[in-house]
Amino acid sequence: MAELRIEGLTKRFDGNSILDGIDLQVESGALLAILGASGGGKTTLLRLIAGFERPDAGMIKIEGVVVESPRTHTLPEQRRIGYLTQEGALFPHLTVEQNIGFGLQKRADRAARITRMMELVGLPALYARRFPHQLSGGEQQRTALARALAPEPRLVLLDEPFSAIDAALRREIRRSVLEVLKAVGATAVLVTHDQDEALSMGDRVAVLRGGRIAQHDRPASLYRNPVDLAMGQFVGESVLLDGEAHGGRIHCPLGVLTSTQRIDGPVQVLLRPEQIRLVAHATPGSVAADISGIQYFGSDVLVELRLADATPIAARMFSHELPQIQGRVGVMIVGAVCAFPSSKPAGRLVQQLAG
Amino acid sequence: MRGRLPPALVFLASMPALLVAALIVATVGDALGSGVTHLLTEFLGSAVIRLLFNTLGLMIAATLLATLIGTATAFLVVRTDVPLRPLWQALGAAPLAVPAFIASYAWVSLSPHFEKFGGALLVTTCAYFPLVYLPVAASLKRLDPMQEDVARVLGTSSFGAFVRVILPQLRPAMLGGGALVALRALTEFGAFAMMRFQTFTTQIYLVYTAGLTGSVASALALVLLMLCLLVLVAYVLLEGGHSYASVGRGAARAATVYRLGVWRLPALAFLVLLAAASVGVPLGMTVFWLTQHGAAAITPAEVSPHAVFQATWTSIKLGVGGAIFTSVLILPLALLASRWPGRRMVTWLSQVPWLAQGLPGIVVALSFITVAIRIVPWLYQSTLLLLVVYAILFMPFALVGIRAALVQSPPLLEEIGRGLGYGWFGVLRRITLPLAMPGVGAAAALVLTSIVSELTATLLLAPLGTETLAMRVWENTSTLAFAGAAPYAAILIGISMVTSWFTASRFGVAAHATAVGS
Repeated sequence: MAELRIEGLTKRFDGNSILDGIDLQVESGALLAILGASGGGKTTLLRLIAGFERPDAGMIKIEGVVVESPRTHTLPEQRRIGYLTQEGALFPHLTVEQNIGFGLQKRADRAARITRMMELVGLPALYARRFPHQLSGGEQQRTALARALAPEPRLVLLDEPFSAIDAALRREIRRSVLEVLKAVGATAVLVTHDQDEALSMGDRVAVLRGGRIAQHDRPASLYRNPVDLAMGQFVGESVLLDGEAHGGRIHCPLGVLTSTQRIDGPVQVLLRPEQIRLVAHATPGSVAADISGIQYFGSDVLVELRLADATPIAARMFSHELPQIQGRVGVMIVGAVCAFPSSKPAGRLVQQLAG
Repeated sequence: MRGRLPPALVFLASMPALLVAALIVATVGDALGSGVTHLLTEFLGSAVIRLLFNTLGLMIAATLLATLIGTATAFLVVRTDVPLRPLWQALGAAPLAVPAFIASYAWVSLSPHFEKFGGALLVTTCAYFPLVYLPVAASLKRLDPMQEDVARVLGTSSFGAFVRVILPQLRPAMLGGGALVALRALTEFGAFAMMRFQTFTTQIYLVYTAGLTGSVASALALVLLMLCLLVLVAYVLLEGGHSYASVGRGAARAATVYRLGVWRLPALAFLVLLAAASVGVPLGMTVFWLTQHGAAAITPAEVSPHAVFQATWTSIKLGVGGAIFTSVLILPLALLASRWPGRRMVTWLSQVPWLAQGLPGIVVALSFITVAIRIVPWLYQSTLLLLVVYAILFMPFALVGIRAALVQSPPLLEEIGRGLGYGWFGVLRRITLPLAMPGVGAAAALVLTSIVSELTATLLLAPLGTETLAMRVWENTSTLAFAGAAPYAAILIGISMVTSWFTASRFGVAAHATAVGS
């Protein structure tokens, strides 16, 4: 498969910039997840890569060859791209095998290729003659994947392909799609608004915000070192506190914490609920807190707490670690936390600390 | 709803089926009783071959042409950048409000050249292409635009995507619409008679009014019935039970609009011509003759306001009476079909009105005249008999509308009503019917429209002295008194447009077409 390179891609609708100078690069065989809120231009980006629409500026290269620039426009049917859409968009008038074989018209190995693709995506051979409406949502999506991969595309585009599938089935389908993509060594671009999906599937994740790439990083770095507070809140559950930083040490209602970056002055502290550990009340080095509520999710729990100054925080833990105690506990922080310059005036911070 | 079917309701719901059965038994019995082959060879001989040739030739030509025009119009209006799209969208359905025999009157009064096969083909195509246009346009709008995108990235050109992805999915709509056009072409009478184009319907009328034995007319009617049945069978075979249930909700994105480029003006010219031929000429000629003195036409005829008023009043009376009669007749069946769907008996009974769709008005009228004269003479020449015939002809419209309306009142509400202590009749009166009333009203309006613009059965069955708008247009056109026909035609078109608009605004144009069509 091929590498994809995008430079300065810009698209406007009615004078509004939907995409504003996007630069991206996907290495051969890698999966890039593009994470963004609904209506944030994710799908537009995919449609530009596929060639359904033309950008106002910028360039797209596949395998080192320019397919889109102000002077070049390769037609969608000549780009050799696989496209997997939200609900598969299977052709309802064609059977499973006809759907998979749609892009294989002129190939001598059509029949063999169809059988091979059905095996690859895990569709039983007896489904070959079925029509799409006779399949479950997951089977439809597997068929759509087989159809997209059958002509051996250079690049696979996935447009929120799991959002229409039942939550219970989604994880399994995600995993098997990922396995298939890795098995054929596909270079892929996945767009999604689901953080879990982006973090778990992407080799890298690019967050699209306000028409620009706000951060492009490995999933772990994105989660641990967001570029700003909003990004931190966007990519996962977070606990926010006000604090005062001095040379990498942060003073806040949870005590003195270590910052991931050097910063001074009033800050907002962002930490993840799983960084908060519950210990017995009055354990040395812990801060006192009262349990105000518990959300039980089966494998894990979210414990809602209030600090002495009434600041609300939340701790996530495995459900078997849930303490059998009610009322007052101690909390300790594991690992470094993120701190961002606070926009709040210091006076209010002091008030909060005092209150 | 669970539970046993109420026997009384089943009995009432069987009435439409019994009427249709009586009709078929009467026609077949009458024709066979007097030796149908004998009649066809002895009395009619080679005339039958010529009739077959005319009727089938027109049917095939009109079906192909209407399917082509209807599909092309739908594609232009839904998927291209042709100028004035909203206007064409509305005008595509408008011909349904102009009865074919009125269009025929307009063309004949424009020039005597519009006659015979050419004229008949022109009028049939213009009047009935919306039966293809509306369902095809609806299908086009429902298609998931993503499918075309996927086809493109899989290596297909945009034309290839149209042929391999769009067209096959329009097939059911095209076939359904085409079958309806074929049935209309087979059963049309007034338009062909005015064009002096001989088909089975015009010949049956001629034989019957000439006072030849009723059996000859019945023999011809039987052949016509067979042809209609053939169309229905061919449709079922071709359609093959594919409904192409769409998969998923589809993308919310609007479909790509094709740029016509240099073809934009030719496409516009095509739509202008089509609108002119299907709506412009009928309305224009009617208005033209309205402004002429009676003497301007080939045959002079003065129009008395009194006669116009009388005919209007009679048409409305018959229309309203027929609409109520048909709705009441079909209500039990609609109730069964909406509350106990899937029961084999209910399924069978619900099919019956559709069968009636393939029954030519002239055949229905003749067979009931036969039955009436032989068995219940006092019914002959009575308004009641006319209403029964209207009910048979138009019960599919009533069934579609009323069933749809009843489905909108959920059974849960009825169960709550039962829980609050009402019996089934109380629930029907207090909950079901009030909720269904708007839909029932729209369905009744559709039946009313159809009755007012019905000509054939009205001509044969109207009690002595009864003159409707349609009959007046017919009489005046037959004697070439075009100015004399104009006021009646104008009022008829007016009523038809108002009631069609009412139905369309309740159900949407597409639903209107389904009802008119299916």
